Amino acid sequence: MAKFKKTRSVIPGFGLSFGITSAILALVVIIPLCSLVVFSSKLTLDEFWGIITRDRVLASYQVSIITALIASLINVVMGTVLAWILVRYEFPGKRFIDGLIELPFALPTAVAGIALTNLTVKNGWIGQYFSIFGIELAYTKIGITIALVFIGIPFVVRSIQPVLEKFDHEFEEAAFILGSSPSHTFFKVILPEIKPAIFAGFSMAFARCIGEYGSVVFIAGNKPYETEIAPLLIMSELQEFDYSAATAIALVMLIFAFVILFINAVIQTRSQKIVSGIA
Amino acid sequence: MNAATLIKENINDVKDEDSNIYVELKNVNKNFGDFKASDNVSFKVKKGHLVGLLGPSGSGKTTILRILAGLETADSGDIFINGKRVNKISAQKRGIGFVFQNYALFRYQTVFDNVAFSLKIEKWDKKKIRERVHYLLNLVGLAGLEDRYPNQLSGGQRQRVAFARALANEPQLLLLDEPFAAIDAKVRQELRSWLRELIHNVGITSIFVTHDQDEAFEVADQIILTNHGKIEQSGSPYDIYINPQTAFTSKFIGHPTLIKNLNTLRGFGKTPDNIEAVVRPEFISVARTDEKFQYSASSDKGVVVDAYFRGAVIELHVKVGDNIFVVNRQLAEGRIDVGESVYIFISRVYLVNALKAQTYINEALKQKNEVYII
Repeated sequence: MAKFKKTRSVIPGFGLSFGITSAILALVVIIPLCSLVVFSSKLTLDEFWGIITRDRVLASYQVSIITALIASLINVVMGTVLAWILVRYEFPGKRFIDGLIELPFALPTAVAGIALTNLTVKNGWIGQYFSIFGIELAYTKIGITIALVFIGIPFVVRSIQPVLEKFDHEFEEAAFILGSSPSHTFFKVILPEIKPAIFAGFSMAFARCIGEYGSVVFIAGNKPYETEIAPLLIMSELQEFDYSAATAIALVMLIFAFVILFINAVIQTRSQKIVSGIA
Repeated sequence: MNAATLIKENINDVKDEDSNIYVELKNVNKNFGDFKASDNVSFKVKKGHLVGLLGPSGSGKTTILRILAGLETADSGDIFINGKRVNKISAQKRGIGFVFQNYALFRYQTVFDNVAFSLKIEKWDKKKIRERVHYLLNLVGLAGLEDRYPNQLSGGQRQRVAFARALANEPQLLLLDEPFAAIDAKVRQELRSWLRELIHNVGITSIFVTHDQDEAFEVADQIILTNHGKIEQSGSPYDIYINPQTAFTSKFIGHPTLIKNLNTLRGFGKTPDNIEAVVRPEFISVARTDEKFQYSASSDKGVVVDAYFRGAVIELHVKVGDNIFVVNRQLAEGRIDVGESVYIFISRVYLVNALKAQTYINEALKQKNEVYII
């Protein structure tokens, strides 16, 4: 505490700004999360366990997590390529494409969901070609994944882009002179530099995707045990006024998100240590 | 000795000279848009020599280095390394080590992995890699730091790692881009002599770029002076310093001051009117009017207008007529203060016209001793 008092900043107002910060954080994040715990604590442990291990609930977790995981992995590859192209090359319409990246943030998710569903149904623009091979997109897990790819892409692109922009060409030239081929340079020199950003983008996209509701419900078909996502199950519990069941399912989702973000934080700290040189 | 044998010997000389040349640039040109980064650049570097490319920023010295490395392609001209034209050979295959200004160490790799980078690509045996890396880290004085990450090292240590990494796969030519620029002054001094010694021990032909003439003079065996994409002068540090051949060289090297109306000064009466001339502080001696002064007959009288204490020397600004001369007086010779009258004697100036510079020695010295060199 003594140490705390000693370091007086040039710019005053630490007390005030810290107060505002914690107030906002409490109002927007901590209190709602606590209420989640409070609501579900009305259940006994057995009841709680009973709700979250119902077959239908477990199936919905599985759907949510698998589709979110696959979508985020696709986004890691696509997002890296997109960020790479936007940073490294000049081409007509670059700024326009750069602006489009944020569209999934801006578009109401329901609109995105309806649009994607129309495209991917059996006689839709894209769906018709896949149906030739007997592949159905809409109302399957593939459809859910497509919606989640759409939702998650900006997270990955926007976290990799600034890191690539700052990346010094000298590193590539150094690798080149040392005899490295372009692909070797990418995997051994460039990838380690952007890996923390990729992890950050991946975990943000993943955390967002497992909770995504609006864009998914239209395209998912919502068949129990197959294409029913956990957020939808929460909604249906709420519609039956079973608040504690809803919060129990939500609490598990929350824990998933926390675990993902925690792993990301560990990775970020580790790479930060390497970069800042603190052993 | 008759004429025939003389010619024969000359031919042998030429051959000898050529077999000793490791790097040669012939009429190399490089433009960036309208900007001439290299303008008909030609030079030769002897095997095992340590060469300094010296010039102000924007003079094209780094471009020359990058063309040599294969990081830039020349618009025209030939580049020879070890007698082979390498214009079309990629940087990976030129057998070059390159130390970047900011070292470009891979931040997510340990010191060991950084140094072993090229060896792993060349698929060396694991045991051999370990031996080579340990040998190199011993050589640069970083043994025991294999597992550190670059950002856990000091600037000087990082430079040593960069140096070890550049030498790892036994290149025959080492290129260094401003190798001391990112290091603080005290360590820089240390590293200069360290690098010079190390390069000579390893025996590798090396070319380094610098804008700092003290650095070039201290480290290099040969200096190539560049300006506006052209080579102004090339030669030994001594030669460049004492015999500037061009207007640029005479005004860039040392700490020269311009002289107006040179022929009004004693000992330079025979020089033409309105010729441009420069003089450096080390060619001027100064004495108080009451001191015994060897050349008092051919000295000019002036007044000290400024005096700066520099530690070992006192820098005096002496006004003589229209000119203000910068003179260094040793601390041991006694202090001279502002406002005092002094005699100054100028031993040598450089006469400059648009193209050339020419040494002109004080008449008083010429009469005394015709072969006086300084």
